[in-house]
Amino acid sequence: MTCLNCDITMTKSEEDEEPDVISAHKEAETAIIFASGVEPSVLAGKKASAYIHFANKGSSNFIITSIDGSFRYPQDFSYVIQNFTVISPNKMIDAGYEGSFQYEFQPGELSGGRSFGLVINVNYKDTEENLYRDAVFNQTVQVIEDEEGLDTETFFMYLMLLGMSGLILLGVFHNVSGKSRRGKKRNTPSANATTLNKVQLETGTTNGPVDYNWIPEETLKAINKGTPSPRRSPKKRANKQRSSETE
Amino acid sequence: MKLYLGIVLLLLTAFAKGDDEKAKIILVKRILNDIITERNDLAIEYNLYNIGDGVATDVELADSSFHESDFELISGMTSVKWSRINAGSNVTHAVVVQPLRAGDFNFTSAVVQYVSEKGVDVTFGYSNEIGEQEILSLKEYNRLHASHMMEWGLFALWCMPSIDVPLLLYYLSKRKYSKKVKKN
Repeated sequence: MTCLNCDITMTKSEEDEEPDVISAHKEAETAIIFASGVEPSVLAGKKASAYIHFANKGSSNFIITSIDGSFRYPQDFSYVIQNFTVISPNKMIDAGYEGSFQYEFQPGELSGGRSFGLVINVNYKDTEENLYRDAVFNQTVQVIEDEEGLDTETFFMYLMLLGMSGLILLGVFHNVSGKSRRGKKRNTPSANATTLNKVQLETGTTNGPVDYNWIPEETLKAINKGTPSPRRSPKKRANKQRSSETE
Repeated sequence: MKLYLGIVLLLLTAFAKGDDEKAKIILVKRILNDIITERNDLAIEYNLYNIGDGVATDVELADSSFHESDFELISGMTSVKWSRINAGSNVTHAVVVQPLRAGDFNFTSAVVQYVSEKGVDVTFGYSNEIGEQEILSLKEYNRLHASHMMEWGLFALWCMPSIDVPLLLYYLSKRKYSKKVKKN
């Protein structure tokens, strides 16, 4: 008996196109009580139970065909906001007998904190197929917001806050540690590069003087002369040859 | 004279109105189990609400839907009597049965009879009908809700080769090469 059409939609009820055609039978009496008492306490998104009493005081038998419930717009009961699942007991109540019915409905999760017109109809017919309808409950009810349980919205908010604080912490840690490391590097004299035993991060020749111990003598001579390192490209060689021929 | 009669009539109707405190009983039948299983306990609860203005006397609740061929009564009674249920109060009754057979079962209504006011015939009332509910067989119940230890054990066993063989290979090679390192 779950709510199959929980969408909160504004639809003009079809039943109201033929108003007051179907009414209650004089000899049938209905009464209602809710699981919460005489006054319904309706929680958004939670199942509510209504117990309906049907007394047949007449001389003809009635067949309860269906029981339906709906939320209406409080200012205009012809507007249906939410229809609840219809139950069809198809139960015959003989003349002089009484019957009880349980009607369960589940208001939409977003209906909390507002008031709606709750209408519960009992539809029945007699043995001559005359249809009757009795609005056993027709009142404006306040739907209470369900504050129990874990709210997904707040859960994800806390999750995001946790993630953000973690990220900030990580950023701060990274910044602080990175700065201290860089400071240390500046303090160490780059001349230490000459000592081979010390393991150092190789940064090329850009920052700091060149370790000349490693450079071959010919190259050093070439550098001191101020000429670029001899390139052994065939083009240059050819050029050189040509120039020497012309001389 | 006419006026006098009228006053008497009015008073009479007033008294009649005052005496017209009728009891009205709603009987709700409910299954407390989530799953109904063959040869397992099934609890059924009956709630009687007197929503009328008067006291209901000689209240008798009877449920004939649990026939001996289909159900075994474990505790409680399918027929109970209360001498009175006050206006605005309610009574709860519970019965525990065990279904003997699996399959769909139509849980029909229970019946309540009571005297709604003094000097009036007995009123008969039906409870709500629960309708057709599936009674699971033990085999089906175990398949759906048991802990499946045997199946999981077998699964672990079948998983073993694919985990153990690579572990063995790794262990062998590690032992082989760590020895060499030691030698060096």
